[in-house]
Amino acid sequence: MNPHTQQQDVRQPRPNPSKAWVCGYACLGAGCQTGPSGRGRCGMLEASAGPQTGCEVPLAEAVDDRPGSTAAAATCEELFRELGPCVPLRDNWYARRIRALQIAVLTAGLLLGILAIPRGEQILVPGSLASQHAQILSPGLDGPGCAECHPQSHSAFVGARTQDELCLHCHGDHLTGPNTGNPHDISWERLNQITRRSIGHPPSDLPVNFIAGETRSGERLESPQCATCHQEHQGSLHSLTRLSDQRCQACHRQKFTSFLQGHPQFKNYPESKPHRIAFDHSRHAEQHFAKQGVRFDCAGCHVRDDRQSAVGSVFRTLSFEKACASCHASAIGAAITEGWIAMQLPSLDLEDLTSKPSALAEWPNNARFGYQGNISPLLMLLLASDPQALQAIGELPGNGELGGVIAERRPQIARGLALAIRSLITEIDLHGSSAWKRRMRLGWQTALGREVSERESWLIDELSHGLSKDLFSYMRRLWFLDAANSQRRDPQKTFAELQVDSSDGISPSTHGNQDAPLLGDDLAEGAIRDSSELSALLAPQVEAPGMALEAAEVELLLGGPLAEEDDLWLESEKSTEDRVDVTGRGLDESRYRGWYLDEQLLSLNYAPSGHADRVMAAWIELTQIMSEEAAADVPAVDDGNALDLRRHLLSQQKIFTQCVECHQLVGKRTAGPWSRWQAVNEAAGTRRFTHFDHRPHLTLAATRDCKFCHVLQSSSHEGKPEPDFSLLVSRTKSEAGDDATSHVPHSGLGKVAGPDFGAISLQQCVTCHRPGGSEDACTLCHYYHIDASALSW
Amino acid sequence: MNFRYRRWLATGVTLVAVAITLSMLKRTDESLGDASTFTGWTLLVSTCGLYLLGLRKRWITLRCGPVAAWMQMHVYLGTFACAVFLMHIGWPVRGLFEGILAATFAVISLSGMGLALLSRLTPRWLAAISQDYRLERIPTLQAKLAANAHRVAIESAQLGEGATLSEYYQRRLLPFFQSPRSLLYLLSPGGRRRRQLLRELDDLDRYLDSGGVENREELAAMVREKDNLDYHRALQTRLRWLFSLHVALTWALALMITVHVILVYKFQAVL
Repeated sequence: MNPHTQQQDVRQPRPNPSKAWVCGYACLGAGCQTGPSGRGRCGMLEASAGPQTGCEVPLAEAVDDRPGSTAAAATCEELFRELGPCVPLRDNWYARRIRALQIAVLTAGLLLGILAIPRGEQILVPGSLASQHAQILSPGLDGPGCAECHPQSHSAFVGARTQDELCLHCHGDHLTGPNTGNPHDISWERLNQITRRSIGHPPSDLPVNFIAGETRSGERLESPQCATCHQEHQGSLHSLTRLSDQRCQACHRQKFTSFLQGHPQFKNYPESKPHRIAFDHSRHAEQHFAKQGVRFDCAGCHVRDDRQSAVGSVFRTLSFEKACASCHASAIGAAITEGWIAMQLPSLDLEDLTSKPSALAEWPNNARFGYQGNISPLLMLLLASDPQALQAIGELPGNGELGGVIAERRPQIARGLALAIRSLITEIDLHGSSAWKRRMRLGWQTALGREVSERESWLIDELSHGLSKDLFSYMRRLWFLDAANSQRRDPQKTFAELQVDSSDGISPSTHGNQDAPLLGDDLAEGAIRDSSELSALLAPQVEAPGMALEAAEVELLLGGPLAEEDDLWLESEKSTEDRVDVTGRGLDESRYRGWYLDEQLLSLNYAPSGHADRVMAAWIELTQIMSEEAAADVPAVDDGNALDLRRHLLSQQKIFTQCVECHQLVGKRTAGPWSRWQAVNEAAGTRRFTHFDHRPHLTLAATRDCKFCHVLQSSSHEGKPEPDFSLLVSRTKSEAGDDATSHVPHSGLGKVAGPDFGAISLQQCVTCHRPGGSEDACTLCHYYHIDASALSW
Repeated sequence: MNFRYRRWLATGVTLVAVAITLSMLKRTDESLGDASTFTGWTLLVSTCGLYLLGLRKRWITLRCGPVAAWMQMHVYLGTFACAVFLMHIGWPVRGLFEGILAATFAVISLSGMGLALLSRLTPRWLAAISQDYRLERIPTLQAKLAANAHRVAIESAQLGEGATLSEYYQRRLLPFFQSPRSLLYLLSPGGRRRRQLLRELDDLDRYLDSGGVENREELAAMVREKDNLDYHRALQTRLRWLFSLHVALTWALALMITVHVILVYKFQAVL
């Protein structure tokens, strides 16, 4: 056997593998079998009698590799004498174990040290937080740190809240729905309904392919936690809202590779929604603009270039003044010149009045030409709280004409109405705004058979805006008291002179250009209060650089419905100076806007200030509420008179064609003060399932032209449904009083103007949004958290 | 069951296990489940299985199969653990502690792979040399060889053929015999220096007489033996260092895994 090639039989266990020390002579090939003690001492040195005899055997077989040695063999004793005492060496495995232990102790020490130092737990954070949450672990803030989101991490917070509750504690403002936490924030009932609808149908036939409560792998899906999708600790630049497509397809039945391959074709995208402005693009483009030789430029109405951005600010609709006024302002101005006769004294038969002694001797001479005139809807409302008047109104024909009452009943009805009107004017003159509002609300209650809602009360206040108490004082004194005294007023006297003549009861503050004295202080305050409200409403919903945007605004700009610049409600604080038209020729429209008296017609008129007049809007909305409730067949009171009143109001309403021709007044009444007059549809500001950001597309030369995607459909196109103006037609008919009883008032809600544009196809989008091209992730176009109320499927 | 069959069987089982784990991971992900928990527990169990080899080595009294079988199980289980480890960690790894933990696991895994590879290649490389040397004895043998070479060089100088051989020894061979090889040689041992020295020694023949040639041949033999010793030492040292690295971090890894699991459940979301 080669002495240099001693080999250990690996199949046999080592003699003593657990020994920590080996003989120091082992490197010479002469290690003793017993080896050093457990404490690393040579047994020979420890033995008092010298070298151990047991060492002799292996040493005798050992090869002497000692430098310069000539001996063929050596014993332990010989080596001891020649080389000195044995210095035991650590065994390799023991050295390794010691080293591993040292590293482990060092690691443990470091970990304990980390936990001991303040905020040391942040070293254990598995990745930094997203920038939106970075402040939670900011060393400068003395907060709960990790326990802010991990309630179990510190004993003080154990069991306090679930992590989702902690998420919603801060983000609850954005997720306020009752089904928050459910998939897409949709109720399970709705999800199950969608699922049942999808069963048995090929995916291509369905608008949505979803399996409620189950994942694709067939497992029951509970309400997912926030962290299921919003993965934190992925670095400060990580987007918490960016989800993988696989996450989306976990629940959706139709699985596809990418947006390019397999995505369902668009169906009627963008979806036709109820528009509040009945604007027919194709008709404008092909007829109106073409007739005037004006180019139909999309940017003219939808892009405002007064902002510092690449493409300007994109709106769904610009304001009336910027987008419509150039053509429509003159038509509106012409329509409102004559004003609105809000209430008028009916003409009575003088003989009837004189033959029956009554308090109506003071009825104005200008209104004693027989039974003429009608009772306007507003006057009906004001009189409705008077039982006698209510009974008389009930006997009026559908158009409210006094002349239409059967001859036998006519004197009695006329007398009752006249007394009620005089009493009304006197009451408002004496008690001001409280009487006006009380009358309006009582009339409203009588007409609808229910309490006045908060919004209706607000509309009544708006209707009263700018109405001066002086006008009623003037009515009372000059129409009734002066008539009783047979004093005829000089028609050429000015209102100021009249005020001097009848100084009692007329506030001096009505002189000059001072602020209009309203019916009462509370009303005035209300008007002022609403001005700020309107100002806020009119603020263009566009991006303000560096400002935190509201959720709705973000949606508008980053893929939601287009922004809205709708300054419909320009405040029109008009002076009440000279609000009496003594000439009967109408007030100079350039000076007089608002409430005024017509001395010739003996009427209280209203001259709208132009487009976006709040009084007219309030009245139209009030009458529309009544129309909607009538259409919905809301059970009214059992009182037959109340029903008749409503019939009269609906049949005689004078809805201005100019207003409702464009404003369809659709949407929820509770959305906002003037929400139904805004061009933006009711779904704007809500998170819909699909969203689109126009801005990046408008920066590209190829897609800068809106017509690249929005292909205008010809107005003569056979397949294009015509705009539904049936509501307007029905209203116009009712205004004419053709057949009041057969008219069933329509609700404006849900009237949808036909689509002006062709549907956008998937192929248009995948031109750019494809693998290797622009981003094509699901979340680029789809929201997960949606407003279920905006769903159309 | 022979070794080859056992190897194929173990490889197949490992691949099937990885495939099953991948499938379950995909299923968990599609179910919007917690994939990290699934892979984490799989990794923890497989890692614990890797520690069993150390116990088996330590508890020699337990006769539960040969260590070689345990070693084979360790290798394939380690391969599986590496695959699960890649499934478990996100990329890039974030967090200081998580990064150290992942790095430790990666170092242990890579050193284990290196050991598995070198433990199969090194014997083949060593077999190319006729003699085998135990690592502990190599320094002694090298010292003895150096002493013998020095003796031959002195004898050659006394033979009278001049200082050719002894000068050459002093200039070129003395550093070779008495100095350890470089770290680069330890990492990647080769025979370039050996061939160069032997070629230079052959070139000295024209200046030597017959006695000198004998001494030159004796020195050449010693050069070969020294290089063989160096080669053995490099290969065995490399294996031992790798093994030391593999073992030294295991306890620290166990400690960090324990802390990691505690942190995960301490900071887990409350449902």
